[in-house]
Amino acid sequence: MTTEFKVPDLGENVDEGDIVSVMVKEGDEIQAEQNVMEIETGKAVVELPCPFAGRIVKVHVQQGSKVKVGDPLLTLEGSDGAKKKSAAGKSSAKKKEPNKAPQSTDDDSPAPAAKESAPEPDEPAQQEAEPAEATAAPAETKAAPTPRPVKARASATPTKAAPQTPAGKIPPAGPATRRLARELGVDLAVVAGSGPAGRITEEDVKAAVRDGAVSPRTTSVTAPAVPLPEGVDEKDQWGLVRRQKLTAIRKAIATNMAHSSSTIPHVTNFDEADITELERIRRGGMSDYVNTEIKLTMMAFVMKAVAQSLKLHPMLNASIDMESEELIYKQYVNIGVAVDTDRGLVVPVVRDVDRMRIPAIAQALTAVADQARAAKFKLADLAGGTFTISNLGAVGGVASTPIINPPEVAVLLVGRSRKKPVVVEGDAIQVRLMMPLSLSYDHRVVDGATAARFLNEVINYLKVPGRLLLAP
Amino acid sequence: MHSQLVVIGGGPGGYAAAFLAADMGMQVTIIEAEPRLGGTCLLKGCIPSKALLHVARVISETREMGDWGVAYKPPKINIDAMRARKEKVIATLSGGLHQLAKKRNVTLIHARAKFEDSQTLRLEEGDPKTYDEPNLTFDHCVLATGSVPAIPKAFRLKTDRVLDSTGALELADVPESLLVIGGGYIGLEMGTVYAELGSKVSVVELTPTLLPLCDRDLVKPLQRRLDSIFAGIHLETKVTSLEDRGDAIEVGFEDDDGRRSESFSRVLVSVGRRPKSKGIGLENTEVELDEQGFVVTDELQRTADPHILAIGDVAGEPMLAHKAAHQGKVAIEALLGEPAAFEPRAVPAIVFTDPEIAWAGLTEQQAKAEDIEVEVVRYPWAASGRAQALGRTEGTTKLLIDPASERILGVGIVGINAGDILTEAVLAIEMGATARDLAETIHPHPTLSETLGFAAEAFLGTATEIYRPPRAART
Repeated sequence: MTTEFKVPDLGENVDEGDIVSVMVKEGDEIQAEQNVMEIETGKAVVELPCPFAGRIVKVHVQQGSKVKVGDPLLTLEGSDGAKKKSAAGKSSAKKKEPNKAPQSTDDDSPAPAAKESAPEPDEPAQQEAEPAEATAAPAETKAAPTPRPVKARASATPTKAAPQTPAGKIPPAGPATRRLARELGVDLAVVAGSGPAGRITEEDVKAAVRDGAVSPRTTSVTAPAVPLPEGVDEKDQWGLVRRQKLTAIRKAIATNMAHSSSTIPHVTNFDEADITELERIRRGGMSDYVNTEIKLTMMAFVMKAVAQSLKLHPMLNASIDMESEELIYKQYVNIGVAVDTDRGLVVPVVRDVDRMRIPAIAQALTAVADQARAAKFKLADLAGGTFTISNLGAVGGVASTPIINPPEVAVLLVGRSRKKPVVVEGDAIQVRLMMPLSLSYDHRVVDGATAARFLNEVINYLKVPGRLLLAP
Repeated sequence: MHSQLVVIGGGPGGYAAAFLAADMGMQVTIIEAEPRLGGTCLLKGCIPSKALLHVARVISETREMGDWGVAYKPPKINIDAMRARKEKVIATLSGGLHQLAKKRNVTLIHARAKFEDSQTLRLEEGDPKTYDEPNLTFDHCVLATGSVPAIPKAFRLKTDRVLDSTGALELADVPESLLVIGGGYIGLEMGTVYAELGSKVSVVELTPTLLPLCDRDLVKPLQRRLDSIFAGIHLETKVTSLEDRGDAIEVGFEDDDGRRSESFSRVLVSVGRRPKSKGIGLENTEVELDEQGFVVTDELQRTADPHILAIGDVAGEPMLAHKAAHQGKVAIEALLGEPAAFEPRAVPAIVFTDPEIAWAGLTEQQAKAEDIEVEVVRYPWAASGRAQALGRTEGTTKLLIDPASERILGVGIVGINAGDILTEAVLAIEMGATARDLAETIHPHPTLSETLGFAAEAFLGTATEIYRPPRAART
């Protein structure tokens, strides 16, 4: 029996999309809810989980296919057809949810089964107490509300505390050990006792914490502050781990980085640019753009400085073709801008930066960054770069050794600008705003001096912003 | 008025909670309907009954001395002096509690409290001088109202000849004859007191056995002795009527042999206790009650109302002071976010008759009912030197052991001072101790506590004083 996996409901007002990547091939055995492809809609790039398990007989689409809701994506064999989810596309929403594992049960404790409280105990007449007490009984019945914790302790459904725990299956541990287990959020039922007859010691409880046997039943003081992303929990030799399938974007990054790092002889030059004057100009000009969509960021100036420098040092704007044994000088300047997104690093490309004026660059930069963060870009938006700039200034750091994005031959990393004491003319010391720069280059193509001259050019453009104004 | 924490009920659960809370830096108020702290336990339960049982025990010992060649004349009883002495015990202990409350800056309000809503109490009666305003608001409340004797309607006569446990402890006189309705621990303890003081005591019980929650083998030695001091023990017998005849109560009985009636000077009704959860305005809160009227709580003693915790008798069986005190501390710690929980492996229970019956953890009845596989080992006190020296060899110490792990799951003891040697068993169960742990703990000789170690040895087949045919070696 075969089952078709079709394009599910993709959400409101979305009825078509582009297949960004296909993560499976014909003959693959897949699990139910396994992510099988990435689809890009006007709203986002999402991974599509297939609700069925089985062997893939046919893949109906390929990267770049345009599909509509209801189009067949996969044909599966041996699928029991079970696990039909109401709307598989909704899982995109599910994917965005923080993971479900170490959550506090405070707000999630299931409401106790709505049980009517019996205001008047149904006692035999013989058992009735003093009339005064019996008549004062409440008449209304209430549905049992969910109890709220008084403090930050995990809540529990108010069940009557069993005065005598059923014997036999009770984990053997003394009261002090049990208290420690409660404090550390360890479920004693899963702890192997090292003492005689399997008695659980305080050491066993601590070891269980090291092994990750922390139950979500209790809020643990050692619970991680940041929930882990979704995945499958399992244990390795040293403790609990979580396995997560690589997303397409992470896989691409991994492949490219490994390829670049292992094939390109990287060298990195470090220097810094005095941007005191540039910053003054930038601040002065910002008011002109207050009510526009243009954010006059320092990055726009850096891009302009780099673009101009690339025109003057075309070796940095080239590619190498080892097969044909040729250098390819690009006569255009397309700068890739590294953008930190939820899904990972994305490098959209701003084209023809050398021909753009600074406000236009700022505008384009904002646009591509927003698109990248909203996962609204097309694959083509990521291609065709001639040079990459990675700006860590907003995050922090001074120097780094960035990895080149092939077929480019250089990448510039911008660190966080800081005010520093700088020796200026006449051996005077002045406070100057300094921008750290790290330039990695492909040493097959670019010699050290060439790179240094290029970097000097960039630094000079930034230091003397008048040159940028005069730039074509 | 406002209090950060209000504890309703000044019994052993309530004051344990209040004092701990005060020690932890909370601002605490106790509301108690009685003028004195102590609750049922101190004022009309555990403590006065134990004082009187002490008297009863000494009287019975003077009789036992006959066997040892010491003859006493029958005792002369001055009931007023005895009552005063018992009162002194209560007054001393209650006075101590008031001092402790004062030292801890715990505010005491003598009043009845009714919930107006989840954070407001209305105060009435009691001593209005102890409260400025009739309304008291709070952040948190520990409900510790306890329980009251349950008196079936048909037994509510307008005469002081029909008593509940409170009345019986007041010791109005030594009635010529006393009928105890209900063969539970309260009835048997009070019956023992009055029997030793000289009353002709009869017990009537609806079920086929005294102390129905107790294992039969533990009840048997007690029942034999009670047979010798009580005028009659009527099992499977129903009380059909109580009638006030002025100088006596005429009681109608019904059993398999038919109906009959008999007159008694006094009648003690001890058919059980009910939680005091009615008439205190809980309907104005979100607190939830179960079918028996107990407040439903979780293991942190939290009720369905986020502002109210409940502990002790009002929060469920077993209705025992030590359980209440333990829960009281759990409640406060839970409130403060400490990793406490009411998850005992064993709540010890003691019937302070002569001999005493004491048990903790799993009982044989329970094991059978829940189909839990256990190995049962009994150590007869006839093999204990100390029991022989005391002339009280009817006792038995029983262990319920998990055959797989050899862990102690339950302990039952009958014999004099059984309650005092139970504690080791409770610790053993809480710690998950095995039979070998008990056996290899050196027990002081000659004591009755040795019987616990001996019983464990008997399980291992190594008991010195017991010969058992060879069996498969245990490791």
